[in-house]
Amino acid sequence: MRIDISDNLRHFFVRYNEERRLSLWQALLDELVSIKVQAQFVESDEQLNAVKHKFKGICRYLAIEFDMQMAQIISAEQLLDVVGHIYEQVVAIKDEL
Amino acid sequence: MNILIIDDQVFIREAIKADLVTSTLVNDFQTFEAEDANQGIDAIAAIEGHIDLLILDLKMDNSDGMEVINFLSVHAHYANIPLAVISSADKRTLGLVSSIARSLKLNLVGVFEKPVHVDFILAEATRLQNQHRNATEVKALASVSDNDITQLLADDHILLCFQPQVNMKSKGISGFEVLARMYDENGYIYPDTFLPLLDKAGLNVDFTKLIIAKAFKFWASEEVLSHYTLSINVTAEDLISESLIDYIISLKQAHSHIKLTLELTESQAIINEASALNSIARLIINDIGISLDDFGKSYSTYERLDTIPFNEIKIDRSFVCDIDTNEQHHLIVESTIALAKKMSVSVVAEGIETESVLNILSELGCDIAQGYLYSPPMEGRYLKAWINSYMNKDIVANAH
Repeated sequence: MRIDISDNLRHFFVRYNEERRLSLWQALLDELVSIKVQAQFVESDEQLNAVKHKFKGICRYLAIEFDMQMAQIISAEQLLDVVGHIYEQVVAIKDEL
Repeated sequence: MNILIIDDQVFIREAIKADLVTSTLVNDFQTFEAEDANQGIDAIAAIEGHIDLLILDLKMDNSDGMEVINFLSVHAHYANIPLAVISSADKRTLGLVSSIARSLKLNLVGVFEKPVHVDFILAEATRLQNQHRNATEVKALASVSDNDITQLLADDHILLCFQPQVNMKSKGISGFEVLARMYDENGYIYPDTFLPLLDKAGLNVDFTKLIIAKAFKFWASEEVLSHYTLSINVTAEDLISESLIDYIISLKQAHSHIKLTLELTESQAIINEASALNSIARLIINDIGISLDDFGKSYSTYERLDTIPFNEIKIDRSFVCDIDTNEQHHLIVESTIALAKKMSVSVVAEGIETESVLNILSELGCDIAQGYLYSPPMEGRYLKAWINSYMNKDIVANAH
């Protein structure tokens, strides 16, 4: 599941001043790391759904519309893959902030 | 302004704070944060409930927002904290939480899907705080006695306020509902305080007569107002007063250019009385419209439909105000509008406070809109200015 969110990120950050952009960027990165760590230790569907819910909240804030695809994530591996992909794009955009 | 954000995700807390900083609706504020329900409850207690806005996530690690909601509901001194629930949960869950919070009598700003629009929440919270302040003032005046109310009525301490009704298709003003206030040296006394006292003193019919007389006098004094329907509330008890019905009909005959609608509320038992039905027939024959007020609120709603000849249904505000988040209310409003269409009567929706609700009502085919989105009830002296301002706005909007 690959999705280009660079425009979503630009659109999200552009509303804030530089100082605020950097602190939001760091908070976003920390949140994604936290989700990745939690996904690695998922042991049940309930735990998977809880982590997915957190990820969904972030996606909503970034206006990433993939609720449908999210429903297709049925394993921690799939979730890790998607979160990792988003994480890389967040890291990559830092120079633009 | 003190704002407490309870959310287990630091990014979302930061995003909300960033939006607060850029908002033009709040200049001076302090934020407090908690990452779960327990921390949130501790924070509420620590700042002794001095919170102007509580933004609460529903689903959090190790806890959920319902714990905070329950805490607020069992501690009366915290129940008035303006509460905005935020979540990524599905609409049905949001609707359920909204119903629960309202049934617990919390000061609910709303239940919002993430991402939240901070400006909207701030505007709503401010509006609720003002309402609460008014309610507190009313409570302080609850000492108005039976004797006082009789004297206030005799001294004509009555003020008429008017709330506009707007045609949803043409966007033009269709009319105004009259809403009465009484006053004494301490300020306004609102209907929830004075109506029970009037009822106890047996002055209901006298009061209605006075309201109708004042409303007609005002409507006749300004030519421009004759373009708009004048809607006045009457109770079933008023209908069995033959002298009042005679009086209304005589006023209408004397001012035939005034379009009058009577909004009928209350008990089915009295309405079924032959004299009440006879009054309704007389009013209709004299070109006075009948609106069924608070439609859907009473168990006798459908019996009223069967008994009374009417030309308008007014859907109760409790169903309208949250149709954008409450699926059941959406269904009820949708069905009522469909029923009204089949019966060829017009539908008024009251309690419209947001564009979102207005858009849904427009899609459902509602005819007339009323609510704070257009204007709160205003004193008569402001009516012409409001009409001019609304019409100019409309002209500008059409020009663009």
